[in-house]
Amino acid sequence: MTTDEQILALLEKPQTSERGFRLLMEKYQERLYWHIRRLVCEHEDANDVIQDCFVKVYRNIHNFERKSKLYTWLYRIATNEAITFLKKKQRRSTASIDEEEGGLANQLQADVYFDGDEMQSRLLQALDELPEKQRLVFNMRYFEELSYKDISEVLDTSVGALKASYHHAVKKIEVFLKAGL
Amino acid sequence: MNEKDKIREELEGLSPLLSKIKEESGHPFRTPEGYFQGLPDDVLRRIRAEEGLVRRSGPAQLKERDGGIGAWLQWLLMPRQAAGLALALLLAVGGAYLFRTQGGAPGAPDALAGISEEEAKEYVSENIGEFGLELMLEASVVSAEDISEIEMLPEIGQEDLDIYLEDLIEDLSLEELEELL
Repeated sequence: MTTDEQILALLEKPQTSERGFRLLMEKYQERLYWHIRRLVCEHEDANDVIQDCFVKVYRNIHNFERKSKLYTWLYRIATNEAITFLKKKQRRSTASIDEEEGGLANQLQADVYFDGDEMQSRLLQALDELPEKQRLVFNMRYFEELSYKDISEVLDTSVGALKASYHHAVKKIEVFLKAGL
Repeated sequence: MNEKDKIREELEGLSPLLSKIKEESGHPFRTPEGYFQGLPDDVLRRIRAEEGLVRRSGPAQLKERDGGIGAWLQWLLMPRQAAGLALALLLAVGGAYLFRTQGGAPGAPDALAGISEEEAKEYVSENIGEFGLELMLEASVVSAEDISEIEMLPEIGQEDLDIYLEDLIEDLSLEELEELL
């Protein structure tokens, strides 16, 4: 597999930048897509966000200072794009009475690209109830199995605070799930 | 012990229920077939389209070509800039309308002296439907030719434009509002 250094070297030269960008996408698109998808839930939304994310990456790759790992830098952009998207969507749904009647359960039922069972649907609903930071930390630790150090780089938060967030998130989700059993 | 083992052990300690769900559940989401194969092309197509637009009509190139206000106006009337221009025009017309209804034409800073930032934003936001293109034409802020270009914008839906304008209004400071008026 191509290393990050090789990809960055290709991206630096105009004549190889497209090849470098394709390699970067091939290497990271799935991880970033699933990270975004767990945050926004619907495929169409995730598709919009990941495209915005990679356009931003393409335009700002020269600002990557190599102080962090490339993928934590990419995660940071993906996370910011997803949060911005969710905030806009929330504003839209607050303004629209029709969408207020929806809710995540209905949204998942209507999503043709959701194959989850009852428990997975409940887990996503529990996640939807969490504060933003706890949800992000839970997703990155539980689903994506990132180290606290990497999550710390993505969210710019201390490891201690992340451990507390994860602990609280797990406990809240457990309570939510047990209430439905 | 590697990071993944640590994460599993931590989860088992925090919540055996969630640990069990994680072990037993598969991936609840899926994507359309071949989605990831086509994603790099989709993103690169979008980047090329946007770059082509900027290259054809970016302000620097236009300024070199004829160096006048007309060049900036052409650039501003391209789809990506049009929403911003529309807001500026709406604010300008809103300001003119305010002055007219107050029976005088003082300088902008004086006229705004009694209007708070919140009131100004609220006014424009609440009366946005009042500022039609006809009114802008009447106020000589745009020409008939400009209007036909605005009406031909193919890529911005009304909903997108509304959200974009709301975001812009929220982000404007009082100084920026005064400057626009």
